Amino acid sequence: MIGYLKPDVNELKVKELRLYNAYYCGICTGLSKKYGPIARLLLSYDSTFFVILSDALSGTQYQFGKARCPLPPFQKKNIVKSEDLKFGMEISKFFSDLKIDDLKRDSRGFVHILSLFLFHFRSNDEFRKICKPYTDRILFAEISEESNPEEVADLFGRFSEVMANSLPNLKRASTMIYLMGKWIYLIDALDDLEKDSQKRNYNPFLVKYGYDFDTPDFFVKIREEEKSPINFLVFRIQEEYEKLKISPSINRNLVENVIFHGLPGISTKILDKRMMKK
Amino acid sequence: MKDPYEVLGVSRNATKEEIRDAYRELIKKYHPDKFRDNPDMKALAEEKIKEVNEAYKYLLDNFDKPSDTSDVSNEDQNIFQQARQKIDAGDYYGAEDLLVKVSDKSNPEWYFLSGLIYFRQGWYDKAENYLKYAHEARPDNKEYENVYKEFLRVSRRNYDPTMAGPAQGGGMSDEAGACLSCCAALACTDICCHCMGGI
Repeated sequence: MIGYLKPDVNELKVKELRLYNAYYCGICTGLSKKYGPIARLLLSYDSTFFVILSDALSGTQYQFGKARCPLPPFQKKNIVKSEDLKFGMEISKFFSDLKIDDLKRDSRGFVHILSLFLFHFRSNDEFRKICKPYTDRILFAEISEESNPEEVADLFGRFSEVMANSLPNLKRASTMIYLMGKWIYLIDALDDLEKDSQKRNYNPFLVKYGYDFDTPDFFVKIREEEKSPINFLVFRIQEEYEKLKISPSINRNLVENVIFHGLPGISTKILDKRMMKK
Repeated sequence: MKDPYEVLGVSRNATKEEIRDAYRELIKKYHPDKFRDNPDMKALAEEKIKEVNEAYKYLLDNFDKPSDTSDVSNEDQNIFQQARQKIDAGDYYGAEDLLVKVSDKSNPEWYFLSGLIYFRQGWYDKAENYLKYAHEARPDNKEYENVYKEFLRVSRRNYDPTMAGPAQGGGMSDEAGACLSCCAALACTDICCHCMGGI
């Protein structure tokens, strides 16, 4: 599972955790049915969160079903059956498509051949059309080495917002989703500082702080400096959440868990990351 | 809503030379010929160049003019009013589009409203710069002051958004430990009592 919008499992009730699992098993099964079993690997926390949020906002009564899962093979799992699951599937798929595009562009050698092979599995859906202006701009920012991380994060936020808006229930939460998109971009860039500097990939924070690898603890310093902007963003997300006034449900508890425990927890974990193994 | 100083990346009291240098630097950086291979990227580069040109022209045209912040044209006043309504309604993109149309972009109100949008959209540096500028330009304006202070309050306090604090690394807290060892001691003494013939 990939993604940053994770719940903090320690803070969940058992019934909440079960529902959460039923949601992502639902998306996973759907992916496997539509795009073949390997597509199960594309499942992400982020898409699961958006589906849960969408059901929380609409207050729909979902139904449960059973599905067989390869892990472990002889046990049937509970899954949620909800209209919005399709959306979760599609964005999971779409994100992986973008990843493939990226790979095809940047990679050399073996990975490049692999990406050409994967390229044929892309689905050409409406997402691609809606998102083109944003993905283009993000690519442009990468090529022209944009030095302000917030500018690129803004593009990513708008991009997430546009995608989420294709699900009518999520329209109400569009500002919050914009802010979450920004947060995901920034936290991902901060998480990948070491990796990007080794592979010489574009990372806005490295451009902003000027590739000053001679300074001892260069990465620690960047993360220290960026603490306030990230905390400010998390605060804004929580403030926007309060405005939504979602009626009580297990889904709401899950959404709250992600926003009040998951996001701050992951921010702290990444910002306090010390030396990585070389 | 772009601030011409920001587009060129120069400070508000930059000299003409500094502005020119920054302009040349940017034109070089975004030269469309660099993006020849990709028509989409080339179009974006051209857009960027246009933005830089406009900002440069604006700054040169207004360089010697004293920034007269006292009167606002009726038209601008109107736009500010509408932008405020949009911000209140949560339509930040709509408000941004309106603010681009303002002709006098050195007005504190313009900075204040732009700063407010940045605040709501979670821009840390920009929100601070803009709100601070508006507050310093009009220290007597209570609204500017309040919003700026609000920003400082939520961004400066050593705010820890985690309600639960950092993740516990297993084991038990000292208090629980002390409590349990006390229980264990009592249980032991209890066993002793039984063995020794107590009740």
